[in-house]
Amino acid sequence: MTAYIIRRLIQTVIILLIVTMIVFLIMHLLPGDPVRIMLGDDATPEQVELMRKELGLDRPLPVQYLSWLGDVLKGDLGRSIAYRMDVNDLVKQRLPITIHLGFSAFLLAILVGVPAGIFAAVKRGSWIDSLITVSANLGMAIPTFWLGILGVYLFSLKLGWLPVQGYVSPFEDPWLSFRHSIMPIVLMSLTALASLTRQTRSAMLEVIRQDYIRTARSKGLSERRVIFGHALRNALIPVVTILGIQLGNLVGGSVFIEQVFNIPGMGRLMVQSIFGQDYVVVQSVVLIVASTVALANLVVDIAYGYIDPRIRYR
Amino acid sequence: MTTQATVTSQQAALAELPPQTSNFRRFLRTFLKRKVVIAGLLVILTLILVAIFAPLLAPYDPYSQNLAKSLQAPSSEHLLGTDLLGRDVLSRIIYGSRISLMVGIVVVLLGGTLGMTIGLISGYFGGIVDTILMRMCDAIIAIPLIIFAMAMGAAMGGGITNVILALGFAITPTYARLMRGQVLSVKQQDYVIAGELTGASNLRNILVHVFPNSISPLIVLITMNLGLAILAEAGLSFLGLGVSPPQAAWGAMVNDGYRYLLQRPLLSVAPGLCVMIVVLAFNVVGDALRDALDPRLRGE
Repeated sequence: MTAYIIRRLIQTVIILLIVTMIVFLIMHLLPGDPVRIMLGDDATPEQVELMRKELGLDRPLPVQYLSWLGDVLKGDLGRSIAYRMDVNDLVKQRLPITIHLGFSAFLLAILVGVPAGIFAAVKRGSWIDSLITVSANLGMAIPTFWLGILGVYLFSLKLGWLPVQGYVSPFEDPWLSFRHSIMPIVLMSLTALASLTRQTRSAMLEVIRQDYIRTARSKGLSERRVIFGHALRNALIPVVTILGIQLGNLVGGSVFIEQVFNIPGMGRLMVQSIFGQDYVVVQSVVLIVASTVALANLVVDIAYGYIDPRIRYR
Repeated sequence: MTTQATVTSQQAALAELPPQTSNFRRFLRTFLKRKVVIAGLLVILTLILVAIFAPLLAPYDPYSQNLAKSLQAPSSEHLLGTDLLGRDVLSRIIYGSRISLMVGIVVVLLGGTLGMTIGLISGYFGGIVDTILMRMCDAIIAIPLIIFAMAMGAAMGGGITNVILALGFAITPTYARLMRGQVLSVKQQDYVIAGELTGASNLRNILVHVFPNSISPLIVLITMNLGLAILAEAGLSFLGLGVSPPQAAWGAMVNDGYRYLLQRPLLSVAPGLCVMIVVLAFNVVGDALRDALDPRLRGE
């Protein structure tokens, strides 16, 4: 197991290194000069050159990359062009908000999605299975930003039950925070919830047709023992493996929800930075998000190794 | 006499067997088993027809502005009303189908072709090539699709071409990974090894033997990704990072309508509903294709 964990750790470090290269290259090699963008069309060539020197953009690309990587490893993400402050400080303000909403949404997706999938599989072919399957299909197809707008229209503007937009920290005012966050959390969880439901259902159905389940049934075990004692643990293995990916999707979806509800989290920071052509912030946000997903995948894989011994020996 | 008797008994035995069904018929039967799949196919067909015949179907020019008719309620003249600039919403939705369909198809073509090529090379040659390509795919997969597309879009600038490129690159690793897995399993088959032994070139082996035998799970992914690409394009356009105005894109229309939600909810509701229905149709058809192509599920 230790060898497996070390192997996965090394892989994650390599992946993260490649992520830094990709992010850096996207921001530096593609058409569009950040300095020109920063200074606007009126800037003289001298001004552009001066700024380029100041930012160290006149150095060869590999040197720039290594210098940036060195700073990142020291925990320094650079200075925002648009906000004129350290990216670290920006992230400190914004990240807790996305973590609060994202983590709650992730928990909700697991707590509702997995039981819904099990239930649908156990009741296969019934109306409840159809209802869950159709809802999960809808959940995968609905644009969350659109559903968010419908939610604002119904629950905030028409019924007046929830605040229209904004964010309040749970440490400031728990009740107001709950009223502000409930709709964004539900919406953020939607795609992951739908996907987990579908995955759990099909994994359960796959397991239920295995011989050992037939044996368990023919031994005369109760259906409850068969499902919870034998089928569930094996069915959950493929579900656990997609948790990391689902977290990534959820973080991606947060961009839309933060935009609709005007929540000052990481997603909104990224959108604002793109419009402000602040490439330092954009690359930092991408890097933080990718690192989170890669680490989540690492945790999932290690957990997977514990649950399923076959994985360790591959 | 004996021979004739044998033939007759064989014929009788054959007559008792259930009629043989071809693989294709069995595929069709599983594929079209559920009514919702037929509904999905009809939605996709409608989308294609609407996109092709948009100029004939749209009652007005989707770009012609008339400020005197700004934000009108639905009426017999404008079935879905008008937007802030007095443009007919129905006509814009009809034209918007062109963007959605085109983005969906081109993104999948680009990402699919690139990804499958990478997967074929990676799986067939193995070794260091495989390691490098797959680690790069892992890195891109670690960045959520929409975040990757946003970053690429930010670097390249908005506009439909850049949206297509960004989404195309974002989905590439999924195809590469799936194709590689397929190639690794097909590579072990006797007919591929026989091909290698007869001295067939790598390219010939890949194109003639490996590729056609690896394609079926990729077809499912392609169908699913058409919906995903349409959804992602709508999302990017909603954020203002996709198709540039005044082009009619469903996502951008949802965003435009958001400001007038209380006055004219239909401005946001109608285009969003179109996105949902189309994506749902592709997902349902993709699911059915997966079931029909999975030999274990065919008999059910």
